[in-house]
Amino acid sequence: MKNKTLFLFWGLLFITSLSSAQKLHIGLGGGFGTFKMSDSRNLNQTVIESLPFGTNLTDDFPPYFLYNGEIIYSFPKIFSLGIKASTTSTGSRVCVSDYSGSYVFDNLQKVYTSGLKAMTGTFPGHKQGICFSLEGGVIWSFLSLKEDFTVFDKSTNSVTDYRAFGYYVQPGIDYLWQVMPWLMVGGNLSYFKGFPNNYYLKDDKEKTLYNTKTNKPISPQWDGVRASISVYYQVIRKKDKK
Amino acid sequence: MIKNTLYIFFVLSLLSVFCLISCNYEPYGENYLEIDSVGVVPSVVVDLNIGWNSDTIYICKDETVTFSYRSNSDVVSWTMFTINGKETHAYTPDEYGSFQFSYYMPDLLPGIYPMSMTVCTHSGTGSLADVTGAEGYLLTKKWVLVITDQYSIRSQITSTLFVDGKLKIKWSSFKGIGFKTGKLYKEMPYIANSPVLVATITDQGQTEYIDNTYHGESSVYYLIINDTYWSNSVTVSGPLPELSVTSDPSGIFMLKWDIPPYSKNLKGYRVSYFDDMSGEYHLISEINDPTIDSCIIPNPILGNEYQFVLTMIPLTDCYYDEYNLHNFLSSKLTACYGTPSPVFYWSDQGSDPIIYMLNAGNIWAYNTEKGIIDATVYSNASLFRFSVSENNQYLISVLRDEKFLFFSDLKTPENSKKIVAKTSMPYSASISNKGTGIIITGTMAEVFDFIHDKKLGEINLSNDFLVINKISPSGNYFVEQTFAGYEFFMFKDSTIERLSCLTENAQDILFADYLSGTPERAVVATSNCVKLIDCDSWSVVSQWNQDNTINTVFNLDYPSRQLFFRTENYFMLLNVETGETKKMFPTTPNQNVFWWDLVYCDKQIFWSGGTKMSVAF
Repeated sequence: MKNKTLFLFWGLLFITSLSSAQKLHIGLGGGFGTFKMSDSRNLNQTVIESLPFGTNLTDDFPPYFLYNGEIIYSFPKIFSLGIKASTTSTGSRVCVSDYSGSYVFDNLQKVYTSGLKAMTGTFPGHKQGICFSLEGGVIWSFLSLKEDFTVFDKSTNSVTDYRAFGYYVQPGIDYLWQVMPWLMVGGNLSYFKGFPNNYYLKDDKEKTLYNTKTNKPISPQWDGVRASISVYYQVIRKKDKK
Repeated sequence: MIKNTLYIFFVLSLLSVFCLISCNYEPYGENYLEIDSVGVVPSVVVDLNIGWNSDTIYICKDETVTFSYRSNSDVVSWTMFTINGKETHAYTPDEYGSFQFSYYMPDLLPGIYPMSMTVCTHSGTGSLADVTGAEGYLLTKKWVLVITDQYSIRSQITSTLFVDGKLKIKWSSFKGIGFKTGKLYKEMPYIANSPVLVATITDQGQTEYIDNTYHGESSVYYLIINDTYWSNSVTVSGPLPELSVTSDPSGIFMLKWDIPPYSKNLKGYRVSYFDDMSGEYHLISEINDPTIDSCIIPNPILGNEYQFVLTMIPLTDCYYDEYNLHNFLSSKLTACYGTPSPVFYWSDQGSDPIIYMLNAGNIWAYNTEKGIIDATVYSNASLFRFSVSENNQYLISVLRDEKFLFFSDLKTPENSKKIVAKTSMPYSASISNKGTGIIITGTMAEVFDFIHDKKLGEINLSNDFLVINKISPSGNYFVEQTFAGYEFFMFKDSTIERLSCLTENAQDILFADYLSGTPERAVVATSNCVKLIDCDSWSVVSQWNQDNTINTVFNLDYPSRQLFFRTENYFMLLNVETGETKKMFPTTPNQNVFWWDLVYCDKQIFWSGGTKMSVAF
C-alpha cells in the first residue's frame, strides 16, 4: 500500500513536468559519508573478547569516499526528477602482532544503492540555487570478514562473505550552479537512513550472521551524513526564451 | 561538436565510475607488541613420587607407579612418558596445570628399562606463539627404571658408628616409590618389652640418625619404611667402659675407666662396690660429668677384695630401674688395694727377704726386694702345705693324699729328696735351721731328721691337729695348734717334753712362733696381750698388753722382730722386744680376711689376693 502511494506521487509529478520546458542532466560525483555500523562494532568487540591473546581495534569504520552517478530530468521552474546510483565502503580492523606472528581480523563492508531522486527548489528556473532533495531506493550490502593468523612460518587465513538487502531514504539539500550552458556543478548534503535486512552467508541465505555474545543478528548500518559534489552534463536543452 | 563532447563525457564518466568503484576501502592499522622473546624459564614443579633427584628408580613389579607434577601456573602444554622406548602416556594438563597418571607394569619382566618424562611448557613470553603453544620449553628427565623385588628396594642399615660421643645409625635410602615415613626402632632384650620407636623419618633422603638414647645396652636396630619394608637388623652392644685400678706409693687407690664413645648420652657415673657380706651395693661416689674417667677410692682397705661397679647414668631416659641399671649399664671389676704381686694360697718365710708362696702346685721364692719371683722351689700337683726354716736353707713340703714329703735344700738343691712317711699320711710339717723338724700325722707329732731321713722321737697330741705347726730355729722347741688349743713342746736329748702354755686357757692363744737367738724366744699372742717367752727357762720375759683387741695375727717378721696383726680398725705392727706398736692401714670389723691372707715382710704387706703395699713410717 505504501509502495503504491509512493508510485502514484512520483507518477503525477513526472506527468506534470512534461508540460514545461525540460532539461536532462547526467552527473557524476563523489564525496564523503559517515557510517553508524553499531552492530559491526559490537561484533568486533566480541571478537576481541573471545581471542586468547590481547588485540586492539586499529580501524573502526571511518568516514570514507562515496561515489555516485545520476541522471536528472529537470522540469521547468521548481522540480527535478532522476535516478541515482551510489556506492561507498568502510571497514574495521582488529589486530595484534609481535616477533612471533600476527593476527588480523578485517571487517570490510561495501554498499550499492540505487533509487530515485527528486529535487525541488529555486534552481531550475535560475542560474544557481538551492533545492531540497529526497532520494529513496534499494541498497545491496556486502560484508567480507577476513581473518589472518600467522605464527612463525605457519599461517591460516579465511574469508567469509555475506550479503544483505534493504531500502533507504536520503533527504538532503542541493546547491546547483549552471556554470556553462551544458555544464552544471552541484553540491549535496544529506542524511542517509537505511532499512536493511540482516547479513546472510553469500552462498546460503538461510544462514544469518549473528553476534554470538549478544545473540543478535548483524545488519549493515550505513546510516550517516553524506556530503558530495557532482558535475552534470546537460544533454537536452529546450529554450524557454530566444 | 555536441556529440563529440557527449561522447568524451561518457567515456570519461564510464572510466571514472569503474575506477572509483574499484577504490574500495581497505582497513588499516598495526598493533605491534614489543615482547622479550627469551621470556622466563617456567617453573614447573614435578612432584613425582619417585623423585626428580633419583636417577634410578626401583619398583616392584606388582606396584602401581604414580607420576604427577604441579606447575606454578598454567604453562604446561603437554606431557609424555616413555618407558622402554614405548610411549606410555601423553597428557594435556587440566586447568590447574596439574597432572597425574598411574601405571601398572605387570607386562615388564624384572630388569632395567629406560624411562623418560618430557614436559612441554609455554615460553611464558606472552607472545602469540606462546599463547597458542607454538613456542615453549621442552624439559626432559630420564631415569633408569629397575623392576625388582621388595628385598632390593628396602633400606639397609649399613653402619653404626660413634660420632662425637653419640651413636649414629646409617642406612641406604629407600629405593622404592611412594615413600611416606620410615620408622627406626630398637629392641633391647630383657630391658624393654616391646620395640622402642627411636625416630620417625619423613624425608626419603635422610639416611642417618643419631640415637641420643643409646647407653651401651645391647640394642637391635631396624628400619621400617611405610610400615611395610623392613630393613636388616643390626645389633649394637657396648662397649662398656673397661675398668682398672691403680695404687700409687702415696697410698691413693684409684678406679679408672675408659670414657665410653656414647658419653654424651650420659649424665654421669655412679661408682660403687658390691659387698658380698651384706649383699648390697655401697655407693662410693656419684659423678655428674661424663667426661671424668677416674675416681679416688676413699679409705681403701688393704686385703679387701673390692667388687667395683661403675654404673652409667643415662642423660634423659629411661628404660631402667636401679636394679637394671646395675645389670645392663655397668662395668664390674674385682680389685684390691695395692700394687700387683703374686697370688698365693699358703706362704712361709725365714729371715731373708724372701717369701715362699704356694700357688697351683708350685712353690715360688718371691724376692721382696726385687719384687720378682726368683725361682720355683718345688712343683707338685698335690702340694698342700710347706714350711721353711728360719735361716732359709731348708723347706719341707707336704702333699695331699700322698704318703711322702719332699725335702728341699735351698742352698744345695742336689740334696733335695723325697721323705717317705713311715707310719700314717703326713698332715703338716715344719723344719728347723738344722734340717730337723716336725711331722704331724693325725694326733701324732714326730720329730724327724730330714737330712738323714730318721725319726728322732714322737709324742701324741692331746687333740686333733688344727693348722699351725712351728719349730724353733734350733729345732729344740715346737708348738702345735690343736682343737684344744696351742701345745708347746721341748725336744732335748732325744726326749720330747710337753711344756705349759703359760696362759689360763690354751684356747685363748691366737698365735705362737719362735725367734732365733740365745736363748731362743717364743712369741705367744692372745687377744689382749703378746708375750715374749724365754724358751730355756720357759718363763715370760716381756708381756705387751694391747688396748685394742687383737682379732687376727698374721705372722712374725723375724728380722724386725715385729708381730703383724689386726684389730677391729687397724692393721698393726708390734715389736715384740720393745713393745713399740705402729698403726699401718685402716680396716673394718667386717673385713673378711684370714690369718693366712696377709704376710708382713721386708716392710711390705703382701695379700694372698695378689697385691702388696709398702709400709712407710
